[in-house]
Amino acid sequence: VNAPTFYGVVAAVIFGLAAYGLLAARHLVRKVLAMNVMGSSVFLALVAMSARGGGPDPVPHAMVLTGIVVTVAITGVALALVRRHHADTGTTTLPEDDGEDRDG
Amino acid sequence: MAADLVLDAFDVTLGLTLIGFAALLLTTRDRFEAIVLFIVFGLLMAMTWGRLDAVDIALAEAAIGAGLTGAMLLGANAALEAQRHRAPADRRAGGAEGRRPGVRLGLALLAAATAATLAVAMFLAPTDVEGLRPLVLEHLADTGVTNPVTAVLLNVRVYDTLLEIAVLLLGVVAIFALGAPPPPPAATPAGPVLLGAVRLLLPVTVLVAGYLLWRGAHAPGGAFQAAAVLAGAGVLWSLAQRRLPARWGGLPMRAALTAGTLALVAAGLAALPRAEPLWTYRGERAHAITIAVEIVATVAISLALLALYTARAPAREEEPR
Repeated sequence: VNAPTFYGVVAAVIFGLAAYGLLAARHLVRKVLAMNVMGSSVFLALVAMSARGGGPDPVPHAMVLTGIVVTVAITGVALALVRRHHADTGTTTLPEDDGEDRDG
Repeated sequence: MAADLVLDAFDVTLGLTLIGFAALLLTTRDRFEAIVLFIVFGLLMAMTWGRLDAVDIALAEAAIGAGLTGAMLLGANAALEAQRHRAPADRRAGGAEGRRPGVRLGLALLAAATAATLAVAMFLAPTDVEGLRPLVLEHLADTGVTNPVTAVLLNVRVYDTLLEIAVLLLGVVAIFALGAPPPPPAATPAGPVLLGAVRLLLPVTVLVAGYLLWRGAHAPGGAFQAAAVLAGAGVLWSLAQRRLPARWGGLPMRAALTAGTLALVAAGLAALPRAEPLWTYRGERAHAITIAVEIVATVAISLALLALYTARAPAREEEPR
């Protein structure tokens, strides 16, 4: 196992953890948090896979830079939606998740 | 480079620490703690980027991924908690623990299967790839810059960057449109230490941002990293409860926010009179266009990132009395 493959496997494990976090968490801020971790793992997989050639590949690097900025934009909009949802309904969870014991 | 790819103890430690922090931040019961762990996770990611020879990403991750996103999450979390008049135990709620065990087991199995499939794919992927690096290096001389990542971002694939800045602008427009709830009353006035630190740090951050921007042409750095540092300065400024003059909040602010997108569009259209495909610029001309676009984009991106943090349209000029 060389270093890029190892980091690729690390990325796969983190993706799995974040996928569980995204689906299992009910508080919307936790979902946003998990989405960010998931994004990081995708970026890690992309750069790790591209590191196996003869040196760093600038195209995936530029794509990940773009991805980081798009992620921060998504996070900003998501958090604004969460705050608006909370102001309108008083909850920080989605109606679909309210069936089980509520977190108020 | 082959020796560089050998797995060593540092890699194993870093990789396992990353997994550990991801698991901790996703499962901890305290939401505030989860966000702080996320910031640490982002800094560890920045170290990983450094290890994988992706210094440009390391700079962006530390400033945007860990710093700014962390500040946004902390700000939103604090605003939510300030608005709910409930027991402080609330900040512990909302994890997976409220779900039925069967649901949690099912989700865990699904996530584990996904992770296992992805991990196998990492081993199955071809290893003798050359990637696009030779192609970029071959045309690097035409792009007017010597940092390959900046060349890709602002010349070879500048279309990506245009859409990225447009997405950022769209995000800001969406946030302005959503209209944040009134800000929670300031708990305490900014203390002298914070005010003093802001006074000392602001000029230095502007200098660092300018250096990163200039350096981006030939070494890791560039518009995004510079903008992230500037936005960080803006977050400090706003934490110190300082406000921009209201007369800047209307048209000037909106013009500056859109300037980055417009500059990139203009750079593309500049090829039209020369009957070249859009966004074609080479050699000396490429250098001038790249630097000009980067300077405008830095201002626009930093303002957009700051707007994502404050989550509120800047105050307009007060109504005439």
